[in-house]
Amino acid sequence: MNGWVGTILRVNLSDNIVKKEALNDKWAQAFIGARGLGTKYYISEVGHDADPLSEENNLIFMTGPLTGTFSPSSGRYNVVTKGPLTGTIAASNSGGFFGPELKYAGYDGIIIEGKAKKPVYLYINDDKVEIKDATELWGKNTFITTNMLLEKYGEDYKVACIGPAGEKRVLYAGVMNDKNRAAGRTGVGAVMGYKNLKAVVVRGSKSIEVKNPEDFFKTCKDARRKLKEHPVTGTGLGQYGTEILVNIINGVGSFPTRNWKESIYDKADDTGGEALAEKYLIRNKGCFGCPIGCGRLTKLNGKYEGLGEGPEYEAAWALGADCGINDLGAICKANFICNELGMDPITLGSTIACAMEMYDRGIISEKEIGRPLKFGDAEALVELTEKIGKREGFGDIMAQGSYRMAEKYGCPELSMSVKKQEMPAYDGRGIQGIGLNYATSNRGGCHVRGYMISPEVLGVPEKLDQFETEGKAAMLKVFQDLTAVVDSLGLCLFTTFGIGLPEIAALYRTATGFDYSDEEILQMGERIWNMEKLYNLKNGFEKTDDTLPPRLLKEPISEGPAKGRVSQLDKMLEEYYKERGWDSNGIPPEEKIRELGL
Amino acid sequence: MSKVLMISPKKCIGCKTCEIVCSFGKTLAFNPKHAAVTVHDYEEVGIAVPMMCMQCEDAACIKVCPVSALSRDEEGVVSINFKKCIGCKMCISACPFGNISFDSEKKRIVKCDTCLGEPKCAEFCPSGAIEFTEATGLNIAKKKDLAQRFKEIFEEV
Amino acid sequence: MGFQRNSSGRKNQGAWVISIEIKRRGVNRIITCKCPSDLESRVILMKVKFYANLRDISKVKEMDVSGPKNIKELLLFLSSEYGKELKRKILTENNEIHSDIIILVNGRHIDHLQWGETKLCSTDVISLFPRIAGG
Repeated sequence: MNGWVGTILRVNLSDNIVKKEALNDKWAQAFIGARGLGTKYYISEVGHDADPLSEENNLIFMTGPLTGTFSPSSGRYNVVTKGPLTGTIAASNSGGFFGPELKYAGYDGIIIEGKAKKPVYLYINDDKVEIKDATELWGKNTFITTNMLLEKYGEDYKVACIGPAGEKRVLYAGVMNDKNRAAGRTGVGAVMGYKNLKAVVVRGSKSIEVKNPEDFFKTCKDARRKLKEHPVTGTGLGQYGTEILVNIINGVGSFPTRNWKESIYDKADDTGGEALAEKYLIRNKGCFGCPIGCGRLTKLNGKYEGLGEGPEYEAAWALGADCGINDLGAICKANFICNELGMDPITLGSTIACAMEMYDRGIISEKEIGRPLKFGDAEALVELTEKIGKREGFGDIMAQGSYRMAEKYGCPELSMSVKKQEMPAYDGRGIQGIGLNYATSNRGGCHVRGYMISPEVLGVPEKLDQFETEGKAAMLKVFQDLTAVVDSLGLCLFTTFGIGLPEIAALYRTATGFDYSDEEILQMGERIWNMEKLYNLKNGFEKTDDTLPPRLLKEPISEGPAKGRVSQLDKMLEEYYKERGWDSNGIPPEEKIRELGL
Repeated sequence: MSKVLMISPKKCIGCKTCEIVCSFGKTLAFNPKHAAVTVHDYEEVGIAVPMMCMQCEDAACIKVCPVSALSRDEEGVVSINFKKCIGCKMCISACPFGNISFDSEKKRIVKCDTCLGEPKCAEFCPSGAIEFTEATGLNIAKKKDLAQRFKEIFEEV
Repeated sequence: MGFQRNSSGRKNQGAWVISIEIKRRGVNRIITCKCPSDLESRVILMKVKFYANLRDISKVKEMDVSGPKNIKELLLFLSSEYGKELKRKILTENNEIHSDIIILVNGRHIDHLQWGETKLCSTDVISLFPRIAGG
């Protein structure tokens, strides 16, 4: 064994059949695991024009070769499918402890086909795999579902499940594991809900082996030491979590506020990591094997009572500044509800913000919404979050995301989204490179896939000027490819703040025994990126979809350090296509496809 | 003076790095169920507790072993002689803390032996929740934490 | 030279009477003066904002400062005000700007201004962050 454990579980919910098959070694070598391998399995087995919410669609849980090992931050797995929100390929990444447990049970991944006639859950205990009746669990939120399963089977099980949002197919419902960790974006939870699959509960007692244990151990030790020594991964993230970004993104004047009408928020500090640490933080938490420990265990009393995790930076932004809200308690509460009902807070917050602007402009009325909806209304935020998760009242329309909602009322330009997925918390007008990433990311408005904030604002690995366009395309390609590698190994992206391609490649080599060079491993990332792109092209996505909302292209930021700026996407897009070796329409030519072995 | 493994539950972030590295140290593979340390996470009260053998001075496991496979060395560590061990599992029942377990793959008793004086859990714990140190007055974390608070109060004055 | 201002003011017969408490190297002094009514617009100090764990050291979110002419001078002044604990984070042993600190002047990284030589004027807002990240 060499990182991978060699078995894929195939579950057909229509026929009620469970099969075990050998892992496709050739694919594992070419596409690594998790995001890459899950996508390869997906596109090879499902017609590209399948409706995401149909029996034809598959839902794949896939771990990486490093998941569950001593590699730092090795708790990750992906949920791969066609995203109901976007219609693109969707690989949603999650941490926690579920991924490692699946490998200890002896499976690299689970492929879920078909649709169950009634609600079911999947029970896995090493070799014992059963599809069981989930009538008692259906309708329950993710916390209660998880607790019920743990009570039934034991504390050493791990659970991944959907909440009412997934059951009701909110288009941005997510899969929650270990209660508060989420495969959150693009609506993978809705696919699980469509299939009538409520949960996967797993326990594993087998071992994971690597090819060169002694060398692997040394490499892990070195990587862990580097992460400990780096200020970001060693102390920063653990102390304040990701929400610490609020003040610096606001500080550079690229903190989208009130549906991106402004980009600087005078009350930002009320919603930042410092405020959270002061008011509601109990302690920090780490995912499986993670020395960084950026998770937040938060507790609120009184009006917004609750115990849970988060909010993370993007959630705090979407539920906060984007809606003009600075009530941290309400933001935490809305985030808890998102976790309990199983939804993506980024899309949710952005959709509410869009609705707030529509209300402001008189496009939708208080009568239609069921209540007034002004920017800054914290109670509205909490109320609507609940309604969206249950698809009640106006929440039913909002459950489709900001684009479909705005389109329905004739104002799609008010949806701050790309390919129908809402952009997170960094203004592409003030930070050029992240804007390019939003436009070109294979799952729509997404920041993680090519986190240009790192060089443009945080100065890691080097400081690039966020206002300039030069060199951004080249750096973005490297970030996107490296991220694809990290996502596919089963490692957390945050390791890349402290270690780089050499360390990550070394972890891969010593674990798998494959002697690929650093560049060849980075090329696997490029392969995965191109594979995703080709799938999207087949689904009718074109150059015109690699764009940004009109507000980012035409409406300059009104005040603050980035005043007067718009996204200069047109200057960067051509260069980006060139860097990728694509033609001027963003299509990979035959040579590129052959070069990458696709 | 001999060192002991000391735990500070308040610092534990529940990452289970200790479990994974312990299992590797014992088996060269990764399997938290084969680790001699287990983390119990009590989220509701914000505490996670890594638990391993306390190397009791008056060890119940030594007393109960019918073939004297368990013994204490000069460093104070209670370890198992696997050549003598017959796998009767009496020690598992005898331990009042439940800190001995059984590896069903290798069919062996699993018990902390401080990795022969260089415990991996302490070496790799990212938050300092497990320390391998002499349990003298100066070292005890809780004492230090409280003393630190006095220091801060007096500093302000 | 720089001083930290905690001030209070009251109007007395049309003119502002300002009491300024100066704390420099542990010595407190209170200066009271009668000032023309347009003083507020004339005495404007630059603002220094502290974030993340820098706040644990400064114990304040922001402070008003006057005197330092550029970033380097400001960092030296702050080091003398807050001692070793802050100095460790913002300056190296050779009094160069530490690589683990992010400094913005009016929202612009000093990397794209003149680094330590970036000139400061009285309306500037200087934000100090330790090296942080997220996603």
